[in-house]
Amino acid sequence: MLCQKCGKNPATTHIHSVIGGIVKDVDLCQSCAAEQGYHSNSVGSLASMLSSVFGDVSVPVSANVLRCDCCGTSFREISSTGKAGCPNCYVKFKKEFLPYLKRVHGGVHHIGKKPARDQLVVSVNDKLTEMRKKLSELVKNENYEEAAVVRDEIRRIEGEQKHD
Amino acid sequence: MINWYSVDPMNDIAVSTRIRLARNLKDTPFPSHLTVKQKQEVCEKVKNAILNSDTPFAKSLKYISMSDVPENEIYAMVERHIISPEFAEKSDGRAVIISEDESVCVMIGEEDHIRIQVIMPGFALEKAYDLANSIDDLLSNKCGFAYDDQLGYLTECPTNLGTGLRASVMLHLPLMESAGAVGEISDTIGKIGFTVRGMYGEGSKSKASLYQISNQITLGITEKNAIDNLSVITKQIIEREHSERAKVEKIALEDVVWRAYGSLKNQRLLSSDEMMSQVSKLKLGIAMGILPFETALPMKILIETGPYMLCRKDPNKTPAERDILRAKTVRNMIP
Repeated sequence: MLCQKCGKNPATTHIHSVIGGIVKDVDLCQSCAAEQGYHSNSVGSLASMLSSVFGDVSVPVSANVLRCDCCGTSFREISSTGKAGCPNCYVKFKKEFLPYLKRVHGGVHHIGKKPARDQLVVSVNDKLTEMRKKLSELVKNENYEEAAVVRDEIRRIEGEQKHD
Repeated sequence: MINWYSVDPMNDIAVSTRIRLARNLKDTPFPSHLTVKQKQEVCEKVKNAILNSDTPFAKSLKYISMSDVPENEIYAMVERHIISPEFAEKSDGRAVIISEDESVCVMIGEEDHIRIQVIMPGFALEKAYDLANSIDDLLSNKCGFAYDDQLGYLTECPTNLGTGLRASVMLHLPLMESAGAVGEISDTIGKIGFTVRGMYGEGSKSKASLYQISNQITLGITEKNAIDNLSVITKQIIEREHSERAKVEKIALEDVVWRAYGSLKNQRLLSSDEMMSQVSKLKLGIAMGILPFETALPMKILIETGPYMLCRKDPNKTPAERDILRAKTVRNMIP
């Protein structure tokens, strides 16, 4: 594909922007992209490359306002430094992270080593599965009072996920 | 006890292999978001997890709080490749757990809470990974690592997510360098998720024609695949360097090597940069069978006569005094 601006060189930079709800996609060559302030970072460190990857895409407004519940870092801060504040940032902003991770790593699903089974994991999904199992056991044993507490907690976490 | 770099690498081009695993404690902000006191708590937690484990291996390890280490010794540790230059910058709330030969070093409070590093002489990716992996298991059972089913091990920088594994092999590529082939290799392997860096990792320049080849992709790939791919690429680069070496005119090479030997054996003032450039030629001479010295000698000189390593006993030496001492030390190290 040729650059949409000069029409001469091959397009190497894809710019996806969402401004005021209007989605715009442009494909540019390296020099036209540089003219518009999108620099490819072939020599810099991975972190700077990453922040340039973040910089290429406009972040949804909601992600700029939301902050991680654990460390208070916003996604805007993460995208400018290229670094997360705490492990939970990845759970909170997973949806925002995925397109960048796809560009940096190619894949977005870990297929390597897992921690030993007896270890607790931070994954919210794991936590939910565990809680649902607990809920059905509590219901089975007619322990309705405790079941209601667990049910509310599940709803709260699910609500948080939807809100994200 | 001899250091890892004094052991014969059993390879004429691969100097050393390094494995690094990045790990973080769950529910704890990354070190850059912690106070010194919180960082110290992380250090204590990791220290207890390793040193209180009833394994024979744990008994051979030593815990060092970086705030107890004098500044010049911290940089000497960088020169010995035990810690990263980034880790050396700040000492508060940082610690290392280190093995006797310094081949194992767990950095606590670097960019991530825990960086498990194993460094071995020569080309030993699998062996080094197995050791790092066993330290990871030991810590994982006691500490509880931040892990997500989809994203794997969670790290401060998203470029390390997934396996948290950085595997690298340091290669001596003097003839590829002079043929201008290193840049070309760097471009080629960069496209498939590998990188070529200088001697001290990210952002550092190559000295003494030493280059680190390492993986970049950590998400969507298994540790085994990452290591196998790096191994294949490294072997191809080694082969390329061998073929460049085979093309060189013998007498011209001998001349370069013997001049370097003569210079190192006789110099009275030796700067760090000149030492590196001459030792690189010495290393090539040993590899090509021109000089009958042990293979580990050049690396030993390179590390032990670095600016900070050289002045461990007397950190107040001026640069000129250091160059005199370096020249003398090198003269004595070369047979």
